[in-house]
Amino acid sequence: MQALRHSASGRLLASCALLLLLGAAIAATPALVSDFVLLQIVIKSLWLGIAGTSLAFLIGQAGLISLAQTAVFGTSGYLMAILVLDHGLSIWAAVAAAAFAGPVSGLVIGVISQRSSGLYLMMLTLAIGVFGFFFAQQYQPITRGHTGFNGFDAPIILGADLGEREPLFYVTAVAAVAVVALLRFVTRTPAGLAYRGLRDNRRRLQALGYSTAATTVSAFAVAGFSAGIGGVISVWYNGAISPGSIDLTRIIELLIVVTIGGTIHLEGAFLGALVVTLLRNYANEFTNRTETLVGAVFMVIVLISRHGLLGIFINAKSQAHKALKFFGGQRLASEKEAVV
Amino acid sequence: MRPRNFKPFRRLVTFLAVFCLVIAACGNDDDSADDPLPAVQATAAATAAATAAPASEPAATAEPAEEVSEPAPRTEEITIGAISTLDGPFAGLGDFSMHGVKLALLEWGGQLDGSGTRDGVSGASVAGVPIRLVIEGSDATPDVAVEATRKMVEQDNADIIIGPLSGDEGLALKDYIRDIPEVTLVNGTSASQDLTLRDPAPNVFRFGADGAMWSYGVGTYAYEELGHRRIATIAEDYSYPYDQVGAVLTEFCAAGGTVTDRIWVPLGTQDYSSFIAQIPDDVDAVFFAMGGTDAINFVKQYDDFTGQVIPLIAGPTAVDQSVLTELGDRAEGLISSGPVVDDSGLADFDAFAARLDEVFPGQTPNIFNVYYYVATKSALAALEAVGGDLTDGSQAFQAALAELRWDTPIGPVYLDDNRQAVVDIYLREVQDGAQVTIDTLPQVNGTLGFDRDEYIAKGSFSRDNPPCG
Repeated sequence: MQALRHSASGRLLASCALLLLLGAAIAATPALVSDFVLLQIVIKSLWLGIAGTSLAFLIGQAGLISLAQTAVFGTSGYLMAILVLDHGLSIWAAVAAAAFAGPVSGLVIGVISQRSSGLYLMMLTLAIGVFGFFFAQQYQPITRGHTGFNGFDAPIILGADLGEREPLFYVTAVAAVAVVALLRFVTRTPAGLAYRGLRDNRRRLQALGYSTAATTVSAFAVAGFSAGIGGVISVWYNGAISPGSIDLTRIIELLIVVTIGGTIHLEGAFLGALVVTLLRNYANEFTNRTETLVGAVFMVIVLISRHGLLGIFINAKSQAHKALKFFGGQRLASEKEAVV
Repeated sequence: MRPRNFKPFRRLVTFLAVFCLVIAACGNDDDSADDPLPAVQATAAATAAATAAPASEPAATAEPAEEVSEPAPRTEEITIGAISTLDGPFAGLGDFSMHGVKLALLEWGGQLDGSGTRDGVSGASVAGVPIRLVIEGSDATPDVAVEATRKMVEQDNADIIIGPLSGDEGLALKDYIRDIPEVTLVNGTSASQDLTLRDPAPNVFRFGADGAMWSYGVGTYAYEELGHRRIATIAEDYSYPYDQVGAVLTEFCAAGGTVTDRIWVPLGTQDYSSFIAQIPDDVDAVFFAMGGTDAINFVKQYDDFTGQVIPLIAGPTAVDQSVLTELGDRAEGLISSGPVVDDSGLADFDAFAARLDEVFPGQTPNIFNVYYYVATKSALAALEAVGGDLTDGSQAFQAALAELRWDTPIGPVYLDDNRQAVVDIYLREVQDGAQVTIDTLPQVNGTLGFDRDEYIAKGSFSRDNPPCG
């Protein structure tokens, strides 16, 4: 069995099984939950998670804590709304432009912040994120100011109106899987290795002949892609975009999503998004202080697990594994070999 | 660092965990799975039609039920969902608005569940039909307001929504609620003109004024009575202040005055020094339109920097009772127009103020508690008129709402064809920390007395509309 798990064909098999299970889970979800939950919990968590993967990718893979991802998210969302509502462009052309705007604005943010790291990077990207908010709020000729864009109709794809919940869910779920697959693919390329080098030891990466600047910029561009997709879907979901969609609260929310979920794997962002969405929707049934509860949950998770909820699960799994090993007596030696 | 023994198996576990959680999360709210809006039970329609009071009595008065004459109270209930800004920058105002909602429900036999803002009211009933109150909060952003309202409509089966508080939330909710004709939105304090003026939704009602109507009369007063000829304006940079400045300038410029500068400050500005420096020395007065802490910060700094050598004229919420105590002496003598004065002498107002202080000690009337009270009481009165019967998809109820006329604590109200209230506006002055009436401007309508088509054709108020001088 160990041999199978490590062979290429075993990998393929596992991947296929995973995809099948995932497909089944996606297909079954609309039947299992109410219309309300489908829209406001599931779809919301999915697009928030898609936006979250961009930050999870930056933090988990490249060690870059960026607070500017809402700016990218907003750029794509706003661009689509502006092109359709103000310039009468066809929706799919606008979606394409918005999807393209994601990596481009990621690139720009990367260029601005490529020299800084750690705390300074956070400050710089925070400034960019807040700039995004104020630009949307103040630059009326383009962004319509504080009111923003209302009444955006989601597109129709293959006869299915994305203004309806089920089609929107399927498209969002497929987008989520595609985004994760793409980001995972990137992490396996040499560039992905360079990102991890950036995270683990900047100087050594430099000594190896890599340009940390180019690595940083490209990481931001890759992350910008998923933030942009998240922005596009959020506008379909809300039917609107306004400065309130990218304000400081949303910047912090994205950070909370990713921290609660955990950054070791990209999927953590979805877990975090789900937890935050559930809290925001249901916490006020037990308490008058939703925000306090969100903050408390955040603190507890951060305190007990360095890697968020995902870390807790993985820890539990490895504990269970250890226990199995313990009872499995003579297999211990071969297991150890395999792990090392 | 975690060991790099990551395998596809782990991914599988992760994904399954996510989806299991999703599904587990939905176990407790599957009751609405089949029908997102089972607000009215079709089976009850026959009995309801027999017992309901005739809906042909449209001009209802807003007196609470004295006796319950229903022979057999129906078991179904009507859910009222109240939304206001319970988080974020306007959280304090959200508390005020919920006071108003609860006060109205108390008049229909309700009891407070607790003293917290989100604590509801139980036991209220209209024409024998129990009324349930659900409360949701937003943070003044349209996205959150829509989500909160959607939750009330689809999860809690709310039939009537009271709220929201801020202008752009109102516009977003109009778009959402328009598609659900059996649900009725009775606006709280959202003062955006276009909630009702342009492209109105048939199930959206506003029993209060909008931002432009609140500012009615002050432009003319400044020109004719105060003798101002040149003014500058300074206001927050979004739609609600545009409406206030627009209304003032429309009158002021029509009378012959000119505006030298229109200064727009970002919402939430702390330091106004650079904006105050832009105000020219040779203007007769400065009109400022801000809300909450912005108004407090601006007036304090304007007073400190200039000693108010150039007099201020205030927007309606800038000197609302909810900020007057904070402003103290600095607000003395400020002229404004607005919906609420403390000396109107109306018996209903004094009764409202007394009741407010009794139920929520220390609270005094302001725009927010009065408006939410008026909205809730209007909805309950119209419900009374149709015998608590919403089984026809709320059609009779909405018709009754549209025909409703009653004397609110701040004067008589009725709705125009766009379901926008025609109300009295007060020209007022701050004296000893209270709003004292200079003049009552009766029956101000949504087009400020101008011809409707002409008024609408001028376009929404914006940074530079109306043009002037």
